[in-house]
Amino acid sequence: MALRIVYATAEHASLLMDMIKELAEFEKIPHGPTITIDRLADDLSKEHVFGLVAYEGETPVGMSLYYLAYSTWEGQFIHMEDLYVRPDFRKKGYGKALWSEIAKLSKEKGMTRLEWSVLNWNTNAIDFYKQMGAKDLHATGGWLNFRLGRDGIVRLAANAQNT
Amino acid sequence: MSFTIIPATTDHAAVINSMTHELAEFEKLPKGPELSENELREAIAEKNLFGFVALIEEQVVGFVMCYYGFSTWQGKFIFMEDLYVRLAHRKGGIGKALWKEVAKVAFEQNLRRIQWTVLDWNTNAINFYKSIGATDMHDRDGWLDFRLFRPAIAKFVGGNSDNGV
Repeated sequence: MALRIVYATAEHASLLMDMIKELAEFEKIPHGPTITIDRLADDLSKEHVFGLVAYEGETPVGMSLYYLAYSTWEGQFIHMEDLYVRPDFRKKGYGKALWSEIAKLSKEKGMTRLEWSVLNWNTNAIDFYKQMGAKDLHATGGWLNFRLGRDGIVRLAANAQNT
Repeated sequence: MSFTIIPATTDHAAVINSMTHELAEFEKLPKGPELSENELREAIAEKNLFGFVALIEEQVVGFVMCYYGFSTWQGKFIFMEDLYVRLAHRKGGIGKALWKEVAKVAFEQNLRRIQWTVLDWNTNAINFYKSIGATDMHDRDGWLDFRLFRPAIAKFVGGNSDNGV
């Protein structure tokens, strides 16, 4: 049965949410996802996030979700937030096909980079990335990724000047 | 000297573009910036980038530029792309004030995170980030950031057959 990849719409939100949770389980951080289906549907409609859903016949087998980021050095680029293929459908080239669609979009839009994150123990994925010529930004450039959560935001915002 | 902070507009594109180059010099990556002033202006006009500038007597002395990202775990968030204060105006609280304006935007929109990157040798910045409660995502969870550059994107696409999208 042939693979079919479609662009995600708000109607796919529930299916995507299931796969987001499956991916978080795989990443050993099952409590990670906290957004609701409605919020995801709304954000898909407003293009805060874009997605691809892969089907084998009528069976959903995988997805990718991405957003449009902007570098003050090189302009707009895609940040690939999630890429996932369900365990029963692996080793069929579906992951690579999803990757290709994202890469095609990047190429068509003349983008100079495509970025994503991966957990350091996911050696299968890391080997695949290195084979395609991707660079680990910390190993090659010394870049670290920092995050400020809700509590930190509240504290910092509390003293902002009134504009 | 007192300063004010206002939202960045397309009128600030030229000075922000210059300061992007100054920041890249500081980051020891002077060849990094390839974006023109016009492209930056367009990005601000189309709201692909937003931010704030710090002014002392009507001169821009610092800036912060951000965009909105999306986490499938926590929803819309702010990615802080650049924050810079000119050398002569450091230690006056301008950097922290720019940070606070970004935090205020995140707070008002009920966003759950702000993200950014920093070079591992920039210990002053890293110490500041830790002092405001920020987390190094590699230390905490083991996240690594990967990037595929244009030649490798083209090569990757070139080698795969069309699957009908």
